[in-house]
Amino acid sequence: MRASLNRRLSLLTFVLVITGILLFARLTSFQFQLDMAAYLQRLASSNYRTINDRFPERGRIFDRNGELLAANTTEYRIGISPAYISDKARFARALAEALGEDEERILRLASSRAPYELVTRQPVSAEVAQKVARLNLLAVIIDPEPKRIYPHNSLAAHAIGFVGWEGHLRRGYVGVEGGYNDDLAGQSRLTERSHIPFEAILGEQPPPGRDIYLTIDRSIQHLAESELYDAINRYGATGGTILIMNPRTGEVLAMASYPTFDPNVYFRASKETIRNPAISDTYEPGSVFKIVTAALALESGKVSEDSTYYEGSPFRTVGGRRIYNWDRAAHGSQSFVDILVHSWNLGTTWLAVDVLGPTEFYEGLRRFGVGQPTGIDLEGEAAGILRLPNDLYWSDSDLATNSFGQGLTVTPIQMLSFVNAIANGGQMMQPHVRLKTVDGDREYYAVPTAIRTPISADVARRITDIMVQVVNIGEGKQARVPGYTIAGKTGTAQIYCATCPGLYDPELSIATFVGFLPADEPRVSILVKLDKVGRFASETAAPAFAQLVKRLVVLMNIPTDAQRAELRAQGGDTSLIAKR
Amino acid sequence: MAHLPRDALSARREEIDRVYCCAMTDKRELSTPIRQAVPQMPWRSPAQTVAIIVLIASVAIFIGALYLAQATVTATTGINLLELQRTREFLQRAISDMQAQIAQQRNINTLRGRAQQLGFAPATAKDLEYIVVEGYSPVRATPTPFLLPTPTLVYDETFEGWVRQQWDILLRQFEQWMNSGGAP
Repeated sequence: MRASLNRRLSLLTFVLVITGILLFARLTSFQFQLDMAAYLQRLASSNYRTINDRFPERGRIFDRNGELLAANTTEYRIGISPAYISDKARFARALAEALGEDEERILRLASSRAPYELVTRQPVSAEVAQKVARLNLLAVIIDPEPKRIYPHNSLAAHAIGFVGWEGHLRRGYVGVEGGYNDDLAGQSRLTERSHIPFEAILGEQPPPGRDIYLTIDRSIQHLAESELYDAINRYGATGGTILIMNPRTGEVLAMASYPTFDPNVYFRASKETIRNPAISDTYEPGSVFKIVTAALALESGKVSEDSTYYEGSPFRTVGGRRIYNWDRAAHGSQSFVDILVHSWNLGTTWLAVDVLGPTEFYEGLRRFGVGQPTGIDLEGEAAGILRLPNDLYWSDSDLATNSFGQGLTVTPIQMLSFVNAIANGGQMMQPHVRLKTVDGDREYYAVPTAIRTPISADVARRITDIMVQVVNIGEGKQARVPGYTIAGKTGTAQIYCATCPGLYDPELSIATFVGFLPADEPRVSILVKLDKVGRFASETAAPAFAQLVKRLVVLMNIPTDAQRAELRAQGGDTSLIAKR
Repeated sequence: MAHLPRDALSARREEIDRVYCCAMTDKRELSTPIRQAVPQMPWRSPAQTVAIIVLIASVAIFIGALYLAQATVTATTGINLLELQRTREFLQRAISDMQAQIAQQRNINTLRGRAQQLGFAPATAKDLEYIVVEGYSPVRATPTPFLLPTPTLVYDETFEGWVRQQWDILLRQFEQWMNSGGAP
């Protein structure tokens, strides 16, 4: 009886001790956050679950009218879970037939002990993936892999950019793809994936990246590209750029450069081709820059349109350097207007050296933003070079050469922005290519912003009038388009010689024409730049500009001067026309 | 138990005392089996055991069946969900593919070629006519970006609500099971 009692007591003590230990362990787990259950669950899960970074669908890129410029499509990777295959031979035969792969190889993979085997070396198309899906094989895993495509191939390639790889991650490079990569890419999300065929892990899909609508108009872009290509062929240039902007808002309507590339196969293009010349390539602008010097001179109030200077010699020496006119001749008494109309280097030298002086001249250039990036929302913008009087390599001759656009460098987008300031009553608007961003059902518009006011509205108007004369009676005559009043300026910039280091090329130059129209109500500003041509801009870039404008006015619904006058007579408001 | 007469009862007591007394003193008597006052029916003990076993087995089978049914429903639902998920994703991708294909078809070169085939020619400035339309403004107001108020999440679940929710889920599952004819 006593023995039995002792046995029972021992058993009870044992049970109580075990219970006590369990309770103590549980208590400790609360105290020290030891979540054994979660740990064990994780441990168990790791055998049949994997955690992956799930990337959202990349945002799309549209033109200003909603035409798709960059889209997403899908390719597929086919994998298998060998453990779920019962009849391996039959499985291999069926899959090999659907994929067009080697049956032996698939059989070998199906016999593997690994939890997962990748069957396709390269992603397959949706059609092939569907064919595999129709086999209804439990062990087959079809993994979609996103692919970026550009339906218009090389259209606006420099502005759009491309999507490439950075390690194992996709990333946008160049243009909008690079500049707005964070918006387009969206946020990835960690998701679990089960290897158990019937276990559904319902994770939320990461929201897609934001869509971006550009200010670029696909039709205008296409026109710019085809006209550029024609001009390059016609004048024997090696490349070129056409920029079309709305000077009132800073919107870029077209950004065409040649040579270009197809972003669908970006890896076939060279680095030089991929770089966007409109914002990344700097060059000495030449005579188109004279409008900046002239505007600064008028702004100083020290000269007017009636002011004159005298050319008694075909050259003038400044800082030990001889400055000539483009025709290497002296023309006697010349007016301020003649400086732009006939593009006299000696005239702008007079303005910079005698009228303004280095301090006022360079302060004015800084006001225009020379030597500073415009801040356009594209990746890879260059600032250009402007040497100032205190800089090591600046010399007195720079003051003269800078006045007619030599000895300093700008990008095409900078040059057109300077012209835009004149077209827009002295206010320079922030150049931009993003019209709006769409995030789900929310839309965020880019607000046009004035970034500089280098000159007054009055000076802008007066310079415009002179630029109209440049086109009507001056060097820019070939840029004329019947029915339209155009303000413009030609520029033939010397380039450094490839075969004679340190000297300018005696044959080749960069021909530029910048202009805007209608001159009294500017709707569009244009820069045409042709690289390494053997003729003056007045014979190359100017007629190319005219050719472009003839078709552009139709696309942009810009009425002729006569039509605008008639519309105004009928009570219409022509300032509202051509807002696209 | 039937009532025994007083004499018979006394006699019985004596007999018990004697047996018990002998059991305490005589070992030979101890081996004598103790007869029950009320003898057990011969069939009663195995029947009880079987009944208990059957009961336990029934409960186990019932619970097992319920578990199996529940597991099957869960697995089937899982497969259906996966299928729907795959379909949704496939459709989303198909939509993207379709949009890309449409964009490719709308390529300017393609459109221009088709327009030329149809006899269209590019318009010139002379072909355009402008008219004054009273009250019409081609300048559309730029929509102001709007922000939706961020919803504030409040935890308002009560125990009663939770119990009701669990009960509803259970009922729903039961109804589903009944509607499926009891099939898993």
